[in-house]
Amino acid sequence: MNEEYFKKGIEKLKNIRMTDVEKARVLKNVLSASSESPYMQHAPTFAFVSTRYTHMIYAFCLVLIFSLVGATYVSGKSLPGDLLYPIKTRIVEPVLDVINSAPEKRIIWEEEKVSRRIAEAEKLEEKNELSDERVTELERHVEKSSRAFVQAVKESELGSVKVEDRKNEFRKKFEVREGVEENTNNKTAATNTVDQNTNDFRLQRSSRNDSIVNNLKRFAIETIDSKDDDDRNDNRGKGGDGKSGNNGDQDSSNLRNEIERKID
Amino acid sequence: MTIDDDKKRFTDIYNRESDSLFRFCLFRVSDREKALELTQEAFTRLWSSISSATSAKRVENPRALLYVMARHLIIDWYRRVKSVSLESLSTEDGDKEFDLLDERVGLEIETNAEVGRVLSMLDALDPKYREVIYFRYVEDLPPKDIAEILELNTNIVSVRLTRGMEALRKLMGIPKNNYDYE
Repeated sequence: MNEEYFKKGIEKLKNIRMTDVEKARVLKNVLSASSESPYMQHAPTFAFVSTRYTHMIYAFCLVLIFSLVGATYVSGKSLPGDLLYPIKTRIVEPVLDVINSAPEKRIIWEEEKVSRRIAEAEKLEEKNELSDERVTELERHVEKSSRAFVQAVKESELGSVKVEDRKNEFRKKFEVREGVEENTNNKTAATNTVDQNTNDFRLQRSSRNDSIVNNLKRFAIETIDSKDDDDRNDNRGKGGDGKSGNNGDQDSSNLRNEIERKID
Repeated sequence: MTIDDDKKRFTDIYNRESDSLFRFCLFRVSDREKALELTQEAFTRLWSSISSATSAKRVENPRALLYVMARHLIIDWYRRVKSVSLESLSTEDGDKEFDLLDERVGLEIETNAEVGRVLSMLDALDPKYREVIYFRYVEDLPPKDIAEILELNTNIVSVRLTRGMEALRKLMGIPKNNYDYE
């Protein structure tokens, strides 16, 4: 084969082409193609995240999830002053606020939060770590939850009698514990007289802390009473019916007197 | 650009490149219908690239892209349909993926003596020279485009062209100085 022969062969090879009909058919098929071709590789659903960093991203997400779950669990046992306490009060409990947003559930939940704060105060008291800042913080939470409790009771569909019953349950809950604690304090005082010098300071501190815990309870009760009063005053101001509130007024006044007698 | 602009642009590319792409596919698979299918699929993918709204980068060299797509489709087709030994599909030497069939079964190229002879010459070449010679002398592609299609360095393409032509000359029995295809 010589050079000319090769060139002719190349030129004739270049003349191989589609017919006009084939050309038109292929173009039409291409422009109207809407279904996937069997030649096309099926990309996985999440192919857009398939990079060489995919495994790292998954691992990071898993670590993050476990950390969050762990932190949430551990924060449940935290006390004021602990590192995870803000997670408990500013993240976990607000989420639970949303979950328990229905009035009936809210009543139980707000009462539970007051109990939590008081239990935290008691634990701090056992460890002798009840500083003024922590007490202030606890009081703030107690006030907020107590007010929310009263609001939830009002918004619920209980009748007025049941509303008052529910509030009395709240008062009784924290009053009973107060009574038990006072008896415990008396016993503690009695046993500590043996070594007066050494235990004097510890006794004074313990008594102070006990009274702080009791004060928190009283504060919770006073808050729901004062919220009651505020609401009644509002209603009177708006020309509401004060009749139904009269008995409640008497009850809270009696209770306040009782509390003041106990403090004295 | 609107969809109509994209369609117009695509149609221009199609009118310009469809024959050469079809020819390349036919050269590789030796079956006209298969070659038409592969040509259609390559252009379908190009159309998706051009018309895709999320495509941040416009197709700069559609011709090279078409050949790249066609090569990949042909490889897939070989693996799916033809009984090719695993050794010849080894990725250590990618050129071996283009070993031609043992015989050009069903080849519907116009029976022409010169064409047949050229094809048999090209068949006899080493696969790594065969493609570069085809793209350079049949499709008139510059070495830069050939390098992009074959995913090689331009220098390597030039070297293969030179060595491919020497091998072709030997096959044709032409002395070196008598061949002016450069």
